[in-house]
Amino acid sequence: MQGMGGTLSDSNPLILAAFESALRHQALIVLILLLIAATAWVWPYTAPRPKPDAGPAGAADAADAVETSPPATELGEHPARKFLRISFGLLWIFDGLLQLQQAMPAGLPTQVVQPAAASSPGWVQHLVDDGTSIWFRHPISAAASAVWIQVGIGVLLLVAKSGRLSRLGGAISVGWGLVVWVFGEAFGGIFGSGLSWLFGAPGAVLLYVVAGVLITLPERAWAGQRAGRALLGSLGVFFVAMAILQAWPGRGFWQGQSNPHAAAGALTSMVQDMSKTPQPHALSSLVSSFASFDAQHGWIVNLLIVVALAALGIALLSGRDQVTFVALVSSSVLCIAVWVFVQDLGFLGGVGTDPNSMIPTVLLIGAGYLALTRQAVPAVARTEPLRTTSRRSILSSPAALGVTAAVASFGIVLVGAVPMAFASVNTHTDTIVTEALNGQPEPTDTPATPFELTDQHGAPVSLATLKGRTIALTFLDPVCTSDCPLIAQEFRKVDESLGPTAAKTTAFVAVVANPTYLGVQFVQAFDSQENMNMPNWYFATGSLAQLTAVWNAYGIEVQTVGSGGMAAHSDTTYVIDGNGHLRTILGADPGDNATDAASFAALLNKEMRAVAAA
Amino acid sequence: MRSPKGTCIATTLTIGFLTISAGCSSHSGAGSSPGETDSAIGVPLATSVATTTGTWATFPMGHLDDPTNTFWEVFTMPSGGQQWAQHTPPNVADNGGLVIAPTLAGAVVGFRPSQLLSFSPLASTEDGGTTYTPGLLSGGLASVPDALSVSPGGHAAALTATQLLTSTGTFSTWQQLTTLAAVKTLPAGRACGVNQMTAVATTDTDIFVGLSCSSPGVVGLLRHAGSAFVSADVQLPSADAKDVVDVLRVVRYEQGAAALIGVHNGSATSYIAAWNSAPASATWTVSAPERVGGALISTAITSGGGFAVLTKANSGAMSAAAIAAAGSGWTQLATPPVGTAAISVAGDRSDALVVDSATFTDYQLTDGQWVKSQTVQVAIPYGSSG
Repeated sequence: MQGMGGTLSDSNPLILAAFESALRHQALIVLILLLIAATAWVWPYTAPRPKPDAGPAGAADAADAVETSPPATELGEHPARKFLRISFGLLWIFDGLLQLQQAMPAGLPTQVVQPAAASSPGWVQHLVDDGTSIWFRHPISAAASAVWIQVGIGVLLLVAKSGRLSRLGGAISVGWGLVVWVFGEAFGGIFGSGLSWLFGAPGAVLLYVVAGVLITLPERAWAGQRAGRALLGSLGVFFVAMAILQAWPGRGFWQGQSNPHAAAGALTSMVQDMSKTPQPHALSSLVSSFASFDAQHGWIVNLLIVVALAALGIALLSGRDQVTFVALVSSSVLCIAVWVFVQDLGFLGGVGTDPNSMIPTVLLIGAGYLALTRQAVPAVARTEPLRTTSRRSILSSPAALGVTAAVASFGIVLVGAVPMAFASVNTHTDTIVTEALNGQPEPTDTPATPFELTDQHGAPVSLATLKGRTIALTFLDPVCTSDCPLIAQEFRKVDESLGPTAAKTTAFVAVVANPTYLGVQFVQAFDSQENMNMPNWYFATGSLAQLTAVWNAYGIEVQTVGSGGMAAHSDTTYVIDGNGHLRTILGADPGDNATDAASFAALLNKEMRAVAAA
Repeated sequence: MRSPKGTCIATTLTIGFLTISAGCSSHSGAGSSPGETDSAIGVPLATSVATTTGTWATFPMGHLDDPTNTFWEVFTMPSGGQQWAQHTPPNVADNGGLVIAPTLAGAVVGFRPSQLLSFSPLASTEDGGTTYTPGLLSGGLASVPDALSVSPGGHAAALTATQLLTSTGTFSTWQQLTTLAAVKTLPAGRACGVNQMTAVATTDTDIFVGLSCSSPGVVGLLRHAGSAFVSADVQLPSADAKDVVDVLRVVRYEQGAAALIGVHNGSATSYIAAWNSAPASATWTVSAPERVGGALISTAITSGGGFAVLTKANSGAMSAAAIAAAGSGWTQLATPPVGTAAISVAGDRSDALVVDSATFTDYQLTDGQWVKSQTVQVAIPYGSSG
């Protein structure tokens, strides 16, 4: 009902069913991809081998023969890179599986993205809004795409051990990670207030991006200790900077909570909120206990955190193996403690999309330590003489399996990326959004109740004067602040999409739905505000008695809410055929955030065309 | 190889960035509630107006940190009455704020634009708010408490962000009298260095327009008599010659016109009231300045053309002061209760109108103390503007 708000619930059954259906379809495509990949790999085993004496075909083996590389000693994958590749591959898969949560299609923008951007400056919020608008318009394809993109990246990192495909995996994780960091995490909140390492600064996904960059580096970059020192040095600088930020006065981190009625410090408040989110009781008890402890000893807790961060930073900057090892162990303990007691494991309590920043931080430090202390071992010490190898044996080798699996993984990424790319350029909202909000169109076939009112120009308008046209009839409040202007704009879009001839064959009629502001001057002001100047647009009004009769005839409830609320009324649109028969009833509530902008228009367009054709 | 120089540069840059971040973020969390002044030249919409027929007050209620769940309410108390009654005009969402203009028999209430509504519906009453008649301003009322004024003879004037409009009687047909751009080019406008139009008051013969000026020491108050705007020529004491001045309120009263002026000296603001004895008179009586600490959160028009100001310090402490009429001085009122949204002063009665979400509580000033006298639960229509 207009004036009473319409919300697209994250458990809306239509959305859930569509999400499951999309995932099933895409899973089928992935399965086909995997089958093709498996066939490509095993084909050399199963294809009939040409007989040696089969004339010209007998040269097949010779043709298949290729010359292998000359004897050489090649370095295998560096342990640090391997560690990063496998660990972040698993993280991406875990994140992808988290995207399977039912609440993702309708809940991610409002429960994750918008809260993340809430404390950021306006330009960040605008940027994030641009990103979330894609999700709002195409919730099913966006949510399903995120699953396959992230699972695909993870599998690609796991199976592509070296070479261009492996580095491609790193590059894709950088690209997608940046998209998520900017539009999903609002730059990790670095431009907002309350920035703290404890709360996930500078954004978990930025750490995935760092890992992706390192995986993208050529093998030679891992030679020596240079990569390890650079990584650990950067992390050291980061920890020192975070210590300074944590120690900065006036940001609420030195404060606990003197009594239950006093304002809580930043950390206490955060942990108290986390302890109240849905999660296993044992975990909420742990988090709640820490919240109580911090409330009583906020100053000491922050001092310990500041000292620990500064010490870790200095240790990592030292570049000495033994000190770095101590820093690795200490940071692991600290990170896991923060992960449990402050970040509440990151993915619990709501629509969690990743395990937050502590696990990736530990993994990066671990990789830095490995880069500093280990060297790559020779992968193949080729000392055998030059020989020829058949293409068949190459294809059936483990390396070929890796290449085939990597190509298949890239295909999984594309299964998500292609629909996401199409969604990002499609400004028309999927009709499922309006159907989820308002229900599906209801067919009917009864005579429409006649009415005689006055249009915005002061001229009479009635069903009789519009006979022969396909009519979209709705009810709008001319002084409404939210839904009615949106519905009017949807009517405009339908009119535009039906083309210039629609002016003579269709009519868009709104009847005033406000018991007080019903004069012609108000509908004129509304039309001027909304630029409703189409020749087949009629904003009809009349006396309260006339309007009440029309409202009753069409089942429209109009209520005075009072206390500063707008008049509440039903958001319903009827499609009436040229013979004056009601043919379709549609709900027209645009919902919160105008999530179905142009979605209702697409549905109404379809219904009007169907009625006109019938 | 390790590069100490590179590490040092990176450390410096990172720490510098985070230092700036910390400095910025420590301030960015402070937001102003709907009732508070949000800029140096802003005048809060929360107000009360005492007239011969009764007192009108408007202030925000509900969830003040959520614009779509902040609803402005109108409370009235008839002259000689003891109880406030809620009389918010119905059937328009008023999240953007309300503007009240007293009339001879009642008041006109204007709805400020909000969300997708860009024009201002009006509602006039002659029975103390029991029933309202709809009206319309084709533009959006400016965000100042004196954006609308009605003379005893029914002449109306309205301010939008860029225009001054006038109407006669109907509250539905308006004509443009002047624009902000035109005011800036007037001799008086150039002397003022006009930022914005801040108030309008119309008598049956004159229209007064208050301005926010960028030129120090200049009081931006114009009078339109006949066909041209001229400076009303309000002079401040020479001690204020270097201070920036805003006209916060302009009202007509029985003897003429009155203005409340804010004089900004750095972060401190002093308040000065000015009256002319007759609309056409160029002679203004100016009060002594009253310095009241804290941000201005409400102003009031008291009976007889006086003013009251309500401020709130960073500590949350509230202060209030009132001045009765020409020739009188400012009086500091007792510290208002926490949550006071507006003060009303009508004759001998002073009220602190306190809001806590959906609860309105009236405190009366009795023997120098605020004494609770009435509580009203308001059915705030949460969620209706979402």
